[in-house]
Amino acid sequence: MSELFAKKLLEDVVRMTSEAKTSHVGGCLSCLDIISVLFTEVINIDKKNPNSKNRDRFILSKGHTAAIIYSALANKGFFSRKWLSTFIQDGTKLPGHIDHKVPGVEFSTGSLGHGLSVGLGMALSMRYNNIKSNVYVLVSDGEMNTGSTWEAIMFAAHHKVDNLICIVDKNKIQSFGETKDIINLDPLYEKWETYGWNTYDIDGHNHSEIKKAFIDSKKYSKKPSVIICNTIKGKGIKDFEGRLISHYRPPSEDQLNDILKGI
Amino acid sequence: MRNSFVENLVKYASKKKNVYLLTGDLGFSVLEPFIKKNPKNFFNMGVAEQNMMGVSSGLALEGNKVFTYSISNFATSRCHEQIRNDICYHDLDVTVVAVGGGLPYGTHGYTHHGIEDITITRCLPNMTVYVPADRLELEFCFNKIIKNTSPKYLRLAKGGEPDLYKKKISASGNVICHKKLSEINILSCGSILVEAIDCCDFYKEKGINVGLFSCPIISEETKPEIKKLLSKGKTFITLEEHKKIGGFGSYVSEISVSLEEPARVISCGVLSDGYDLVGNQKYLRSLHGIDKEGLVKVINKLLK
Ligand SMILES: [Mg+2]
Repeated sequence: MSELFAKKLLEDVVRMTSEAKTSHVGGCLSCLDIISVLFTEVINIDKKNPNSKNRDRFILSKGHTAAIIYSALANKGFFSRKWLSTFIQDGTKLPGHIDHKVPGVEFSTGSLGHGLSVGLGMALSMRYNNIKSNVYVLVSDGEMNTGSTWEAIMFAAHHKVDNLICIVDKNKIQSFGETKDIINLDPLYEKWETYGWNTYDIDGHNHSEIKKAFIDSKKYSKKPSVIICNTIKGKGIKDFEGRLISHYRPPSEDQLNDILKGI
Repeated sequence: MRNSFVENLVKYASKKKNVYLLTGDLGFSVLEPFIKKNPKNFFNMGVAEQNMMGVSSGLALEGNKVFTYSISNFATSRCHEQIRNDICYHDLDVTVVAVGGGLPYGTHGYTHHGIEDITITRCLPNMTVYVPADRLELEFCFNKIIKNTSPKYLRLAKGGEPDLYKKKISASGNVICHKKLSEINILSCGSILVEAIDCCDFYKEKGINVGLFSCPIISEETKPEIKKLLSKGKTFITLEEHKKIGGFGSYVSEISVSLEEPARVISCGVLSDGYDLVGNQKYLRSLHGIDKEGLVKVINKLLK
């Protein structure tokens, strides 16, 4: 199920960024498999009852990869797929950074380092009110430079907020270079673990590994969980894979056609 | 005023389950009454104001009414983007409560001078700024705060401010009239009101009426009331314990310039050169010309 969904997401995000001639396709593609598994097999959300108390909450903290969430929500029926072709156009409902006015989107982000705190606040309230669902927050690796994210990491562990699950899209590239050259995050697994989180380190493109980590983290109690997903920025577009340029350059018509042929 | 805030909050929370208080590791000997009665609705967030604002947003999204507590610059400047994007853009029911608004911590140095906070909060979308002058204005504001489900900034001074009202405030709008409209009037914002009252009393003894209005609420909603006053063709002195740039005086001036015949507005506030002067509140008010004597100087010039 998640594999099929992944194909739809791939087609959509490459088409959306290519046609709009806009940036950030690389970060969409690195988290594509994570989002596919999350939206098909993990989170409980319902287009007919989008504000249900018992829904799982998902926050995209790396708000610049809005296109993939718009695609996921459109494919889940939260709004018409026709909207996708209006991505970032004048007067659109779909801005370049994710926006809460879009049906199914919990929270607007775009400035890095905000999402984990907000998810933490939701998780605290849900625990207080005995709501048994989870809060999922997807952060980028570049985002882990922000002090606010570490503030949230420390607080969540101290208060054992076990209904909070963070996912790190570790694609090893940030806005102006490689994370290892800017502020080296490694050893990232050890860092999270030392900070008191139930930590996973997986291949972020392997659906069964992703699924397994999500299922396991859901069951885990007494600690918040983090799933570090090792990913490839720009995955699927050959010339973009693992390259900084995928953060900026829109896919060309040829690249789009190659993707469509492949699907 | 700090303690009155907590008294009001405790009273309000006693009837509700969804009231949260978060602090950035401040509030010793102030917040305890709330913590004692609502231990599960209180979090000491540590020295981590950005996370505090994000967590407040998450709590508010889940249907809670959230209050955050800190010293003015830590409550606003340090986490301004979280207030902007998370609280204001999402129009959430969070009240950012700050102590040390103005110069009550004048001896502590520039880091503790709360003199730009009104500027940077009042410009944000959906935001209402509350600046009470004493515990009765605080109660007046608090009764509006509990009904307001949008973002709010509540700027408190410190503690031990004198009572400036003899009884509960019964004003129907947001502006409170102390001395009726005259040729020269003071529009005052916050605890500095005490200086304006002294000034008006000084002139009253001389048989001169100076109008006085306290304006503890800076918002779109208050604008028509201020506009009405400004359109009477008189002179208005704005008074605030805050920089003149972008604060209450600017707010009044912005309303004035929108009039066909703008009023004469004279702004009294913390001076830009001298923002870093250190001393107690009384001393600093005098240096910036925002105490009674400073006001008298301004008004004497007008009377000449
Ligand atoms: Mg990255």
